[in-house]
Amino acid sequence: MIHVESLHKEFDGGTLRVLDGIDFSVADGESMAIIGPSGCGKTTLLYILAGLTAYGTGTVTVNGTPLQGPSRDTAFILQDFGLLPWKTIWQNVCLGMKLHGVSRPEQNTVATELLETLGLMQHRNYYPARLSGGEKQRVAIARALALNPDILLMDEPFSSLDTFTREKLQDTLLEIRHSHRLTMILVTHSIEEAVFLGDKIMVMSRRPARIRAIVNNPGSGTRAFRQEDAFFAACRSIREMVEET
Amino acid sequence: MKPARTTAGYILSAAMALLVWKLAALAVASPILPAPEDAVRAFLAAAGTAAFWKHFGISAYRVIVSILAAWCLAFPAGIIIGYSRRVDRIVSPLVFMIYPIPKIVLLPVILLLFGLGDLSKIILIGIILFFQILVATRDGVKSIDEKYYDSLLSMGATDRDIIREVVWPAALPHSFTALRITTGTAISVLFFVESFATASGLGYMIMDSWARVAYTEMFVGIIGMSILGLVLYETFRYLETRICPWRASGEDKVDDPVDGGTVSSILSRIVIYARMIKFSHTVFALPFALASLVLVWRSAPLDVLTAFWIIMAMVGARSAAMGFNRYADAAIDAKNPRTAERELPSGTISRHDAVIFIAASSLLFVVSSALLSALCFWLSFPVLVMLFFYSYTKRFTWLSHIILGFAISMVPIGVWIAITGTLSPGISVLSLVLLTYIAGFDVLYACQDIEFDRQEKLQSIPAVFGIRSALRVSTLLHVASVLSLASLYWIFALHPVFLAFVAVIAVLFFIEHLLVRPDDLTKVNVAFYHVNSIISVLFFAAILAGELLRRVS
Ligand SMILES: Nc1ncnc2c1ncn2[C@@H]1O[C@H](COP(=O)(O)OP(=O)(O)OP(=O)(O)O)[C@@H](O)[C@H]1O
Ligand SMILES: [Mg+2]
Repeated sequence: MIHVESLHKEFDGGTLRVLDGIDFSVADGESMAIIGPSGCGKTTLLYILAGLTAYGTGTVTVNGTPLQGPSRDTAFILQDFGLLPWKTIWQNVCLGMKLHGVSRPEQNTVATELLETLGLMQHRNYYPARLSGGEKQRVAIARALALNPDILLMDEPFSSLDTFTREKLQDTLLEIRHSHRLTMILVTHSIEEAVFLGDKIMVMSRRPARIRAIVNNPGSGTRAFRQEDAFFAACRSIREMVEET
Repeated sequence: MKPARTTAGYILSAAMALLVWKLAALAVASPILPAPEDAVRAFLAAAGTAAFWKHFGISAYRVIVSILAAWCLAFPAGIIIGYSRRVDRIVSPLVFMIYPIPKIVLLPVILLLFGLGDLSKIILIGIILFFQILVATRDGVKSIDEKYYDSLLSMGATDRDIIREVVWPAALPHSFTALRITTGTAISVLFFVESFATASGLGYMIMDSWARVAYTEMFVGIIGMSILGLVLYETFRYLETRICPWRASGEDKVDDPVDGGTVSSILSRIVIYARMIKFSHTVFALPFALASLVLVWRSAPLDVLTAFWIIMAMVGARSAAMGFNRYADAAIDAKNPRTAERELPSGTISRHDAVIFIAASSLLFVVSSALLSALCFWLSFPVLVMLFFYSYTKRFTWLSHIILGFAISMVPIGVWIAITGTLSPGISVLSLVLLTYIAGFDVLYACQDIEFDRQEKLQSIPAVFGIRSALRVSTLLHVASVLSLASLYWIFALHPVFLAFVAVIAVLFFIEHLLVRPDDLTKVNVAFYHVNSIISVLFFAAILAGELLRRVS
């Protein structure tokens, strides 16, 4: 459960106002997609939620306690994944567990299971440079899930992928979300993606970012949704909203 | 660059150089510039003499120690300066002020402080390399993309984690590039410092023959120095290219910013090789080499140079033996779940690379032995055969543990022969300690593989006689080890404190054997690694203390 109230954030000693009074909450197991113009502060918001950037004023509580730095319960997938090039896929996936002192045998079990579910087992000894974009993304997901987090933050996870791979990964993500009971916040530039993956969709304005609307999107959560009329209708209404900004 | 192309390139440039040389020699027509064929003939003749190799060995020693020392100091320092903003702010202005000063002007100061010996030479070459590596490493760290830090921080990493997982692997290739580029400088400075106040080294050889108007001999020295430079350069390039193939296109690309995709894995490659040869297990044998040095010191003077080549020979022999072992066993390892993740079976290291690695290690061993003495050179071949042969023994005899122990126990004997040129019964007892110690824990280790070995029809004491008997055999071997260790007290008339150490070692062995029970083998790895590394170090400490106290009392 994430709760954010009148969050403000400025850079460069107050001269650059980025977030200007953001309020929202995301319940356990719920997912929220964030959409908004480039440079408005979406990445900044995720960095704050991940505990990487200090926020100005306002309150941010995660699972009932005020946010203080990175937490094991929150996993963050960066805009271009941040996989370490000098580590193999296997080592990348084990990294978080290694940092948290998880025992070797347990690391092996968890990593094997994750890599198998994500179809990466035969690539486990490769270095990230050898992988395709979609494979890298799957490694990033595996690495994020390795610590068994409650909350998953993702910054434009599928933006560099072709439609086919992207939709397959969206389906994978949907399954993982349900099987791991994840609370998810996802930043995206794609209206279709926001509508497909978000139980609700937060539309942000230009910088300094305010919330233009938080739209409920009850139809999402199944694969079939992509084909339904409700999906297209939701896309249309979000598009209108975005075009106004 | 492909090896074939490199070789062709070398041949071509060598041919060009010889041609130009020949023409110049014809044009000058003076003994100052002998014809290339005369120089090469003289060089080949010299290559058969001990005198030449003595000079070569000393020069190699000076420059390699300088490089290692400079790297060991500059690389960590570069990492700290690059990573910590605060240290950077304070130290960097200083570094950049000193950086452009030609360090060679410090020579008089260094000579005054450290005398005319090797130390001054090493320090001067070292200082020059130090700054190159330092600046390259620092810049390497500065160029690391923030996203790597962020992704680690989001997992709750501390500064230490970040340095271990991100900073140093990213900076390592930069330091190797710096090393490769400064090889030329290192050799020039080497020549400079060897041109006075010394009577050894290739630089001395060149200057001395020059003064004696022995021009052909002078060219022998020049060729020797070029070969030394070339070998170093190629070694560093090998590190860069084989370990990170994408940086292979030579000089022109060196200054490219190293971006995320390409920095890749140099560290992991090194770690992979180190893991392949279980480099960490060197702690088990190295103390015995050092212990032999302590004992031999009594009957023969020991100089740093000899010690250096002994260590090089050990590193070469060990790497060759373990590398070959993994190579020979790749097919077997692939089937065993415990070892399937090893580097060769899993394909992390290709067979081709493994062969190159084994060949290079063997060469290091043979060359280092040759630089120790002619006897060592000849002995190095049967030793190598023995080291390779071990790998096959488990296919036909359960004595393989003993043979492994024997192979490793050649270390003390080898050290002794390298220094005294003879064999002594006393040192053989130290070898026996090592033999029984290694064989004993190899039996323990093999207990983990009992199922697999039986199934694959591989011979080991646990597979043939069962775990219970194997543990008993292992205990007996370790009892023998402790007893033969204790007997060194009388053989070498050591100080009684030695026996106190022996008692501690005996207790540790006892604990080690308590940890491993027939029905619970899960502790084997713990028993193995931690207790054994303490025991090995204690072996050395025991002999060192026993010998030193004997001297003072
Ligand atoms: N550390 C920082 N210091 C100063 N300014 C920053 C910093 N990080 C971000 N900014 C500024 O804050 C604004 C919002 O950046 P942010 O990366 O959050 O945007 P975004 O919504 O994620 O954009 P995009 O959709 O293009 O990724 C930008 O103008 C950016 O330049
Ligand atoms: Mg962004």
